[in-house]
Amino acid sequence: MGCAADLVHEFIPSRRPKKVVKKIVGIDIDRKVIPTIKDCTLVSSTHAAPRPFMHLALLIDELLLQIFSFCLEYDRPSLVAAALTCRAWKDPALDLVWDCLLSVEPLLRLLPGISGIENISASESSSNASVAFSSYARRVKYISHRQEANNHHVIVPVTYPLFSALKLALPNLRTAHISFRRCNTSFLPLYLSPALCNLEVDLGFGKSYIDLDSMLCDYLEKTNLLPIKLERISLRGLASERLNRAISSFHHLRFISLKLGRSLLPQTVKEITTFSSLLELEIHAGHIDPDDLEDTHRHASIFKSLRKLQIRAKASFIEHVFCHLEQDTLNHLHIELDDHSPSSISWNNIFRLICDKASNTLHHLSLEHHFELPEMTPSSSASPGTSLYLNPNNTPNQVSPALPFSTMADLRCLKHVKHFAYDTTVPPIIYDNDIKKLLSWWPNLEHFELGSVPQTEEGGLLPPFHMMMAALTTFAAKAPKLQKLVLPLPVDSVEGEPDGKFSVAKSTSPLMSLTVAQLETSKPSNLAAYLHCLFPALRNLDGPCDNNVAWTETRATLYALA
Amino acid sequence: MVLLVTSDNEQFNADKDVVERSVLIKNMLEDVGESDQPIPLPNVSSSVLKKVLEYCEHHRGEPLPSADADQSQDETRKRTTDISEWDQKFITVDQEMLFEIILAANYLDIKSLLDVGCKTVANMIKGKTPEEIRKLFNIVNDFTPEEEAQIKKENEWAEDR
Repeated sequence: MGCAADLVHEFIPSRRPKKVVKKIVGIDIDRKVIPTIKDCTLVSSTHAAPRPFMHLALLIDELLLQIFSFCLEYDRPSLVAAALTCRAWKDPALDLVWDCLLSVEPLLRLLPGISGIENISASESSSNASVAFSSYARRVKYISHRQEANNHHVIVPVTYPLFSALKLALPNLRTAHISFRRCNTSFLPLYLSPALCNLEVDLGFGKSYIDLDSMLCDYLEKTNLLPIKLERISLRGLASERLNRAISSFHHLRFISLKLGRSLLPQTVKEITTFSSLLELEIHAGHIDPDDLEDTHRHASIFKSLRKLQIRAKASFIEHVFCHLEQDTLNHLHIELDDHSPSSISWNNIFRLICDKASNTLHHLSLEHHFELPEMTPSSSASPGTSLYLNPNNTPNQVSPALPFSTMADLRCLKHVKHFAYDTTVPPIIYDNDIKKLLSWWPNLEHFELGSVPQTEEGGLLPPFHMMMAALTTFAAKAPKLQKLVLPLPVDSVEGEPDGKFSVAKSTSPLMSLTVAQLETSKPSNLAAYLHCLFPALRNLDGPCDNNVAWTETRATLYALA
Repeated sequence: MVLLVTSDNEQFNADKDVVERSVLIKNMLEDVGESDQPIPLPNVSSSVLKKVLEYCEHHRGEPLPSADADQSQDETRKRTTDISEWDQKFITVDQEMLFEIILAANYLDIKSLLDVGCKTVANMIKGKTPEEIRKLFNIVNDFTPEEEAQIKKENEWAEDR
């Protein structure tokens, strides 16, 4: 055990997270040697008199970057002004000005002979321009075409030696978000970079974009030849067969998102299932049948490293994937069923497979299915929505579109679930008493969501409601980690005791957000007090038609109580 | 309690959970273990440490940022200059003290305090011309007129507000 004073000199410098090397009047000075802050303070330590010199803190690159990073959002002009103040500020400020571009136009304008550039004399050598180009290009780390940019103003001559002269033009580009609709795709070769990690391309679904697909293929094939660490590819739009092949060749990818509609080929999906480093996959595969993959998967397990899967597909395809999935790897699963009718879906099978493969690892489970509601027959004894929860004709091969609680009970073995969402056209049939059981299966629940209630043609909610206000008291008492709750629940007036208190136990629930299907009360302040009593941390109360007086006043009272 | 000694040899006693908002001091205490040894802070003067401790005391118990909290490239693009009311009052000091607090926060590795200081300077820069910034911070313009004109031209695209 050493003396603290010794540690200051021996250990602390190595424990400091950031190396502070600063430039003072062009000379690099290591802060550990000279000058100490104290020395600098003594030079100009009188607080009352105006300081004659720039403070030392404003000459430390690391601090300047911190300061300028707070100027960045929507305020590049301030950064340019900062860059123009002195040499010491120029590089840190310009690093941030050029860090993220919405198009390559600003860079191209630095090159001689590009339309739109003025004041470049004939005598100005192209090598000077190339130096200027490189000095700015090395600062670009992020290009995004998510927003509209006027990059079509720049006209590049057909003969311009972009490809040869500007090979690997952006050496530090890490992320490129390319939209075919919003950018001039002839600049794609500029985005070849040895630092590229993350590539997001929006190809569009229009036929006019199909020709551009070949430019992207060229680009991807060249990218695959570079010694780069591309980790993430995200593609949206129509893809050609060649582009499908290109995707299949990126075996080392860790994150893939493919929203290619029917242009995603089964062969590509087959290849991706074998990517051994793949950690996260988002895929729309509603058009692919399990038979398309059967040959390859007969014996082998798939997605050996997959941690997060977001899949839109038919139930049969999802069952196939889960049959072959590696055991105990998945921790995040989002399923969106693409079946037209609930009658072709066996939630029992899907739940059993999820439990078989991920009961020890899964902590996030979201299930989605949206479909046309069956025609409802009028009933004299029940509300119009009742038929949604019944077997329509009482025949064995017809099922109700609503999930019964007994089926949901198949998920009880997922002990680590923190996030559960079940968002379907018809909510599951869960009664107040079922909530207690459910919360005993999932003690770590932080987010619980059961979707919304179907609406009538007039926009009203379609009864019956299975869950009532009593469910809230169960959540308040039995869900110690719950922070967000979305329920197909009507909330109405509550009666308090004469002293304004409620007959519920004092709660320590951390719930911050509550969404309900309906709120109708003539005593908003009473309801807010009740909700506050159940959920003292509640800040957000949401629901449909939430602009009426009951919503506004309940929210206002809740806000005041918080 | 932890004993801190400043560059001008003043001693400060503070609660462990207050001083441990400084990653530097937290690491030192872990290295030293249970000890009454004073911790020397040769880069921080007493007037500055007093302010730093006031900040740490006010924010005692708040969650500390994780080590890689701001490592993401995207995160750095979404930073705002909002400062809470208390922090705003706290950091309303003369320029000398503001920069000394920034240096101390950087040295002591107190990220939230460093952010408050840097946001304040960023807010002082916002909307000003180069000449106004120079005047505000006593910066000497060491560019030639030609250099200045070239930087201006090359960055004209970024000047649209």
